[in-house]
Parts: sequence; C-alpha cells; structure tokens
Amino acid sequence: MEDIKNKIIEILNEIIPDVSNETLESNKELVHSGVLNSFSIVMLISELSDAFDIEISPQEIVYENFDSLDGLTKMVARLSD
Amino acid sequence: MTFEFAGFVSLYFAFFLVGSIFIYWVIPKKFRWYTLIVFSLVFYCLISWKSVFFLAYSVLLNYFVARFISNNNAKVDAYLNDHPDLDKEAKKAYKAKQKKIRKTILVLGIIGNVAVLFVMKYLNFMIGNVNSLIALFNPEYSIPLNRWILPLGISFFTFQAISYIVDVYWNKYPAEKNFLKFATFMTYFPKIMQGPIIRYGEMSSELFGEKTFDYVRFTNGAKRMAYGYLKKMVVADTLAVFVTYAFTSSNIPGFENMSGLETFIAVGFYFIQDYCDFSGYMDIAIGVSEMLEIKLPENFARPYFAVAIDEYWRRWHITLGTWFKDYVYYPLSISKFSMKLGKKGKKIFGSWGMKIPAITGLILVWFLTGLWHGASWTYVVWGLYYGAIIIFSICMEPVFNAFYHKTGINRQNKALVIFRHIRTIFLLMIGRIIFMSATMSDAWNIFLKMFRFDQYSLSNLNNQLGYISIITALVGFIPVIVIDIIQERNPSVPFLDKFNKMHITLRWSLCILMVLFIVWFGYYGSGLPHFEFGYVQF
Repeated sequence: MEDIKNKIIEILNEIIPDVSNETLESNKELVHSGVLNSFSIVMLISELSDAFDIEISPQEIVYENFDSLDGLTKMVARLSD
Repeated sequence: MTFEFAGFVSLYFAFFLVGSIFIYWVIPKKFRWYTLIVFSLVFYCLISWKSVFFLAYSVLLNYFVARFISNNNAKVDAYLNDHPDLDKEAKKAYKAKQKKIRKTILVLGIIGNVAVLFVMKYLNFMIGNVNSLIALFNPEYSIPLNRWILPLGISFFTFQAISYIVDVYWNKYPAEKNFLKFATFMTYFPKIMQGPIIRYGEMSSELFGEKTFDYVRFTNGAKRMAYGYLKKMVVADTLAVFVTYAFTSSNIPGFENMSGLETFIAVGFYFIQDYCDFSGYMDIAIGVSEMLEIKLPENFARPYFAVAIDEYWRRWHITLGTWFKDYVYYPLSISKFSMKLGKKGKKIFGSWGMKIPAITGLILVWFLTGLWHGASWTYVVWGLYYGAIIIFSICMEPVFNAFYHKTGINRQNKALVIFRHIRTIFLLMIGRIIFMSATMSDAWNIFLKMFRFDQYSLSNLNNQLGYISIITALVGFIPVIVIDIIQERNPSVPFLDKFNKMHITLRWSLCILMVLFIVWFGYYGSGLPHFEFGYVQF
C-alpha cells in the first residue's frame, strides 16, 4: 500500500505542482476543497491507469475515492487486484 | 395572472396546490406518495395533455431498460453463486459477456431517449441547415419544416431518465421494481417543467419515505414559494417586457430603435430578469416540495457573486452542470480512446499533452450545453464561448500561479477580487448578448450599441415599461440582493433559519408585506403581461 501511495503522490506532484505533500497527506477533502477539480481528476485518472495498468471507470469517480490520498490508494489497490 | 392553467403562474395552480397539499396531508402516511403521481399527471395534462404520450414513452422505456439491466446483474450474481467451481478465467469471460449485453441494452435505451429529443427538438434545426445547403444549388426547393409541439419538459425528463438507466448500469442502485414509484420519480410535478434535474438515488427516500407534518418546515416552504413568486411576478415579468422588446420583438428587434443607454439598461435588466425568472421557478418548486416534506436539490448558489466563469457555472443551473459532468464529461474524457489520445499527446507535447482528454471532454460538453438550450447556431456559439474561456483559464492557471508567486500578490486582495468580479460580469454580459440575439450579427450590433455613450434617450424604456414599473421591479429586487448577500456571507446557515429568529411581529409583517407586494404589483396593479418561465422552452 505504501508503494502505491508514494507513486500516487509522485503523480499528483506532476499534475498539481503547487500543492505540497503535506497538504496532500493531511487533506481529507481534496475535491471538496478544490485541490482536485474535474480537469485534474481526468489527468490523474489517465496517469493512474498508465502507472498501475488499471481501468478506472466513471462509476469510480466518487468523493469516497478521490477526496483523500487514502481513498485514492484504496481504490488503486482494489482495482489492481 | 390569467385563469388559464399555465403552470405555477395561474390562479388555477393556487387551487390545485391547496387541494393537493390538503389531500396529501389528510391521507394515511403510507399512501401519501401515491397521491403524488395523481397530482403530477393532473398538473402535466392541464398544462399540455398533448405531451403526455412522450412522457409515458419515456417512463415505460426507461423502466424496462433499467429492470433488464438490474435483472441481468442479479442473474450474474446468482449464476456465479451456483457455480463456485468455475475457474477465474471462466468467471471473467461470463461476466464480460453479460456486461456486453447490459451495455447494448443501455446504449439502445440512451438512443431511445435521445432519438425522441432529437426529432422533437432538433429536427427542424437540421432541416433548416439542409435547406440552406440546398438553396445554394436550387433556391426553388426546400424540405418542409414539421409543426410538432415541443413536449413539455422533454429536455429535463430525458436527462433525468438517462441518469437513471446509467446509474443502474453502473450498479449505483438496483432498478426500481415498483412501476408507480418510478413513474412518480419521472413525473413529480414541481420539477417536471424545468427542473431541477433530479437523481433517483437522492430522491427515492425523499419521495417515498413516510412523512410526519412539521409546521416549521411547512411554513418555510410557503415562505420560499412566496419569495419565488416575488422574483418571478414582480421582478422578472416586469423587466421581461423591456428585455423582450429589445431582443426578441418580431421582425425588427427593438434595440435597433433604442439608444446606447437603453441597450445598456436592457442587457442589465436581462441579467436580473433571467436570474429572477429561473431561480424564482426553483424557489417555487423547492418551496412546494418542502410543504410536502420533499427535499429537492438546489439549482442556484448566488451565481453573480462568482469571480470566474467556471465558478459561475458551478453556481448557475447546478443540476444541469453536474449532469453533464457525470454523464458526458467523465465518461468521454476517461474513455479508452481519450486515454490513448492523452498518452500520444504526452509523448508529443509533454505535460501539456496530458490535458488533451479533459479539453476534448470540455469542448463536447459545452457544445452540447449550447445545443441543449436551443436548436440554433447562436446557442452553439454561446456554449463554445464559455467552453473556450474555461479551457483557457485552466490551461493558463500555471502561468497565473507563477505570476502571483513572483509578484507576491495575494489572490484574496480586495482590489483583485473586485477586478475579477467585474471581469466575470463583463464576460457574462457578452455571453448573455449572444444568448439573447437571433443572429451573431445582432449580437455584435447590440454589443457595439451598448457603448454608444452619445445616445442617452430613454423614450423607448418609458414607452414600454414606464418609470413606476421600473421602480417597482427594482424595489422587488432589493430583498433578492439582501438575501443573497446574507446567504453569501454564511452559506452554511439557510437564510430562513436566520429569518425565523427575528421577532414574531417583524417576521409576520415582512411576510404579509411581501404577499401584498406580489398581489398588488405582480397581479392586479402592474397592468403588464406575464411571461412563461424562460427555461420551459428548453
């Protein structure tokens, strides 16, 4: 799980370079607070699909999966199985 | 107000509403929701009985499509439970085969929905375009246009139905087995004409849960409804007289005879009129629903307080924006094709290439948003205009961030916020002019005329409206501004919670004053015509 998390942070650093790792790790409302918007979510999905060789379908785009780093990590881990 | 049953703004609606609410609350709890389908069908038939066929088609089509998809999901689960000995590959193959069947049914369902919308709303537009092409070769010949009616609320209930079958396909919830419940969801009368576009997952418990009468909630609903009528009947309908004269008079739009100052005022009035018309409808729909203890989603969040165009669109017609995001933008932007496009783009353009799938999705969404508002190229241009601004601002964000970082300017700086606000209003103004104009050439002429500062006659304004009506409308708009400012300062606390804490005398005085104001200036005294809600045509 830790490897997945670190890779996601790396991807997020590329997509939203102005947001610090601290913010990424502590913020439980990445979408609600506007850190991630519909534009960056699409970029993130593209990069996650590529990096982990997974298919993220539209029904996965819910707050539970995208509002926090933990949610993202769990989703990627589940889809990688 | 007329005695014709024309939806919310008619005296018959008042009788209909009182009767419906009375029956709803005197009937035993568990039967209450059954009355909703009856009220909804009566309401719909009274306004447009000719449209009932289309609504019935939509209800039947989507009920069976969703049931098929849901049954197939259950069948897959049952099959896999009954065959635990299947290996992983066999399970995967079976699931893929069934998914393909579900997808085919979903696609057919979507086509079944969109086809009717297309034929009823866009066929004449297509014929018109084909005729223009034919005229280049043979001016004598043209394909006749059809004279079919636009079924009432078709854009709204079609989108709602598509969201339902897609959600069932995505397994967000199982299809509703009870046909009457599904029909109630589709036809629920406060939202049938122009939204909000509701989702079954959010609304089923609201519509079908057991209700216990709550006096505060009931009176809050009545207050919200009255506030909607103030916006619609006193403000929107009064200003609509001049706005209609300026932009949509038959043959020669009024703006050609108007001064620069009058054109400027007409555009300003249109900002107020459109907001009060559409959000007024929502206040009535939400208020009526609250009186039935049904919570409808909000469709507005004080849009004119936005400091950027994308923020404005998160505050205006919220349920349409989220619909496009969930059912068009995401599915298209993260489709396999778009992902491949993004990868290729990244190889060629680096990090900029990563943006290609999202940009493609946004262009399509804004093209469709334009088309959704009407079958005309000006609407398409209008949609793409907003799409272009939003794409530009997103792509330039890193540049702006670097600028703020280097210069040390705080984004929350008051002067900057005011500048961004004025800039947003200016961009919205251009969008509104395009939206209201019959042709792009009209839009350009209106824009130019607005800035003719040497023309300041107000004779057309006085002839069309008269100063008393203008003052009445603007006085009616004062509470709208005040309530929006209060709500904007603290969005988490509903305005009515604050209002209800006022002294009882003041509270009742304000309520009575508002009702008298609506009855006198919106009904008896104005002498001006009333207009259909603007979004009904969509």
